[in-house]
Amino acid sequence: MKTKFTMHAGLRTIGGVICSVEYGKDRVIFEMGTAYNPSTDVYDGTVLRRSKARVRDALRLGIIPAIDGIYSREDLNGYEGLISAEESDVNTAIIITHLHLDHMGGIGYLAPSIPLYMNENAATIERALQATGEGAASLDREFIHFDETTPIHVGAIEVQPIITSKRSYRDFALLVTTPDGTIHWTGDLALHGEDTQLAFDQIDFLKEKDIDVLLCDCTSFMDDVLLQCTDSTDPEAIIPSKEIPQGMLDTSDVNRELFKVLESKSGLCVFNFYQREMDEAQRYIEWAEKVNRICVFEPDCAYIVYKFWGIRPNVFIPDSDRYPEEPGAQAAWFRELLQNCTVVTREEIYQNPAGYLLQNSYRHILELFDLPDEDGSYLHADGIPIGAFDPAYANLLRIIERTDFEYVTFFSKNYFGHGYPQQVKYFCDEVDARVLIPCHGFNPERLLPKSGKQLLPEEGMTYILAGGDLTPVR
Amino acid sequence: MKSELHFYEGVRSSGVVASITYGKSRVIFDFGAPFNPMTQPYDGAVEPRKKAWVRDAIRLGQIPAVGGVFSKEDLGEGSDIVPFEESDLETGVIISHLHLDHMSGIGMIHPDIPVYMHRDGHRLQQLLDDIGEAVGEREFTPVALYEPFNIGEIEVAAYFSDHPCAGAVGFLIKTPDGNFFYSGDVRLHGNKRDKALQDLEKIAQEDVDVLIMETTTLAREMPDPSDPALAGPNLQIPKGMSTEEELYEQILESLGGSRELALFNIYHRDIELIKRLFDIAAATKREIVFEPKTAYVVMGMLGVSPSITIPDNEEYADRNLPYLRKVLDSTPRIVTAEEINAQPARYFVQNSYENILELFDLPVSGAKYYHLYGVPLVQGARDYDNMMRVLELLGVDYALFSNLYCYNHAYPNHLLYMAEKIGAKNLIGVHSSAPEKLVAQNSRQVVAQNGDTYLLDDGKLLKKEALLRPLPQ
Repeated sequence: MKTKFTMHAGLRTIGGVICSVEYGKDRVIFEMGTAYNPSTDVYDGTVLRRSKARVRDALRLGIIPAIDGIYSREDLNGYEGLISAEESDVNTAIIITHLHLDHMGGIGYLAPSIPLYMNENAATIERALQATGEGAASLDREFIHFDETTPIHVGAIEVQPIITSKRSYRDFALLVTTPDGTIHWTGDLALHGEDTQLAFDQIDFLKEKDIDVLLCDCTSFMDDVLLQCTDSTDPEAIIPSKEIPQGMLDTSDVNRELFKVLESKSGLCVFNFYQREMDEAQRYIEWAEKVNRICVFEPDCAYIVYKFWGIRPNVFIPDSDRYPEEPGAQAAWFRELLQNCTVVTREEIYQNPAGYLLQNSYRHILELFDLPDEDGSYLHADGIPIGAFDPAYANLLRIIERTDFEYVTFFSKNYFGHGYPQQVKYFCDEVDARVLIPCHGFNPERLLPKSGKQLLPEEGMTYILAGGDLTPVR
Repeated sequence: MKSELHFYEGVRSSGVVASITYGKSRVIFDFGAPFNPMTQPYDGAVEPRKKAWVRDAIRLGQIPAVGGVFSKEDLGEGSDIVPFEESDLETGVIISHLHLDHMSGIGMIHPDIPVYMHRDGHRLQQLLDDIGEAVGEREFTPVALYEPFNIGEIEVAAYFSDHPCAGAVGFLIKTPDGNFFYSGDVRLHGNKRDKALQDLEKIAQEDVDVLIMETTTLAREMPDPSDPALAGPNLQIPKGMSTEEELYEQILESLGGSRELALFNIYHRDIELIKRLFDIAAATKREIVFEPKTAYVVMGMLGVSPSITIPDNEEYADRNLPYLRKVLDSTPRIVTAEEINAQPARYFVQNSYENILELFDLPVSGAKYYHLYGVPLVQGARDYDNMMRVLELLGVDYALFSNLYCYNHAYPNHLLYMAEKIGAKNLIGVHSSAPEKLVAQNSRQVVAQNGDTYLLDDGKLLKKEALLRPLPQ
């Protein structure tokens, strides 16, 4: 038996890394995300999702890769060339590193029989999202919980989860070991976050393991971020370093700057963040307390806060069909929330704008028209639409410009959520795997190995792992 | 008293909203939003608000801040727009046709203000309401051609316009000071040109003081700008353009002998076009197949129940929706993807953009796809690019059969012909980015701007001071 490795997707896209490692009749697939590319998303608000054909459509549209044995026979009906989960004799497990859609947005397409591993905290948030209709899968999808203390075994394959962030839903890297060698996937890599030490611990751990294949997140090697960090797109000019590049911010810098804005304002402050980030939600609550404001969430996010933190959140109810006043018309999750929250009204906010820190998601951005905007700020953290690459971003700015809210962001100026190029290079050089597969970004070719070889695998091509190398099966 | 003509919107874009006031009587003509898909705020992610929809439309520039039209409740507290309840004007709104840039805001009008439209348009609107394309819950008043009706002291009558939308008309608006004619959208290369010319003669008899005329094609370059036909008023077809009939002939010719599936993407308010698609299907021995919503419109407007396909999505999950029940009860048959796959050349199938993924289950490689004014319409817009990506992925033989900005609107020489035939004392171009290009020999040209007010005094149109209150930004 030989170990087979296949990169199905995610070499040159922002996220959506999906790889399989197969040994005999056992297989581990790491991640089931959907690449983040809002400008070419076929579902543009007009095109309707099909019901029975949703999996076939996702395959045709390249949203999910064509992999044997993970989609149900019923869902594949009429889609030629794939073996269904029911007909497959491969023992498969799918492991998710963390709860970002580009790492798990495709889990709803999987056959229910395929075991799916996710950290318990992530699963708790996903369950809350499912209840509000925003989950990646339906409520009947089962999860097997994992953490960093216990390896996952799938036949002769072992997967050691390595924790990379202890924030809310947890982030992991995955070290996959088979009788033929080791393959390590960094998941999202950052050396400037609030858990930086974990990245250095990961390096030490991997050094001991003598890694054959390193799949590394290289998102920051795209033009604009690379140019901000190095003034050049020449990969040879990237000097490996532990340090944050000059002029760039770390996560605590960004938070400090956002908090300064909050402190300085005498009007209402609204914030737009990625509402599954429960550590951030907690931070906004703490910030609000420090400046004598009340942190208020929209119902969808408040429900996650309530379920995850077990607290009674403050809730502002936008003017939307999603939140009917008539109890009989309310969804179960919304009714549950209303019994376990404190509702803050528009009138209360008008009476004391400086007393509130209010969530405003892009979905409900028109609420800005009916909120007090004098000396108010719109703090744009990491909520969609994040930057100009998303067509919705211009719309967001146009709408904010029609108000007096001051738009404040650090996200797209001198901060980036993934590891900065010099730091990523440092990480890879320290690990110094025999084969380096940069991925999860537009320019993987720019992340060069120290002494091993760089491999940009052909997506869908099977490679054999032997002797510390990957060889394609032609 | 002097009659006042005021332009709120649409002088230099689509979405004409204007008013004529005489004393306490006021007619507002058309009430739609400018067509601007590149900056549409409701992009699929931003959610429309429920109670605040009128305020939001005004704030977003989707409808102008017209005083005395919106309810107090819809305007909310603190609005500086006079609500209907506090206005002493007797207002009526007249709608030239049911294309959205002419009527998307009519649901926002206070229910006590009558909204008039031609009876064919009225029938179409009822059908659209039933299939979920309502623009708000309210009643509309049907009118017939040439039958005058009064809005206070102002008399209004509708005249035929050969625009493809059902019930398209222009309006003759008479005040004691004189006669105004608002063209609506016009065309003189359609199949009902003779009828349009007859009505043009009638309008010409009315001694029109002010002609307010659409100028869509003046903002676009014709395929051969040096064509002498474009130099003056005449009824010739400019080089590179075609008549409505020629368009159908082109489809017929390209489809004749084809062994592939044929698809069409239409705007299902364009009933005349749908009629001709039936003819084309018959001539090519194909079965015409509609999506259920359009089938319902076809049933109501043409009195025939066509074959249907049922797309696989939540819009059709509830088979007990009243309109869907009627369609299912009366359709001769539901055509399946399997049947179409078995004999593609036997079918002429509707595919609207929202259902474009249905093509994945059809034999579409090499299929003819006739894009006939269904959304998405603007090349370069995100939805248009998206449509093209899907069609290219599938290998569809795409045919954009006409230029949106020209086919449905009168060609430049035809506009001149109409303007000179009517021979109004004053001529104002609207509804394009180049209204100033409309210059007729026998009329005084008035180049207006949004926000302008004019007084009609003994046949002369005089500009009044700028609006008392600036429009909200």
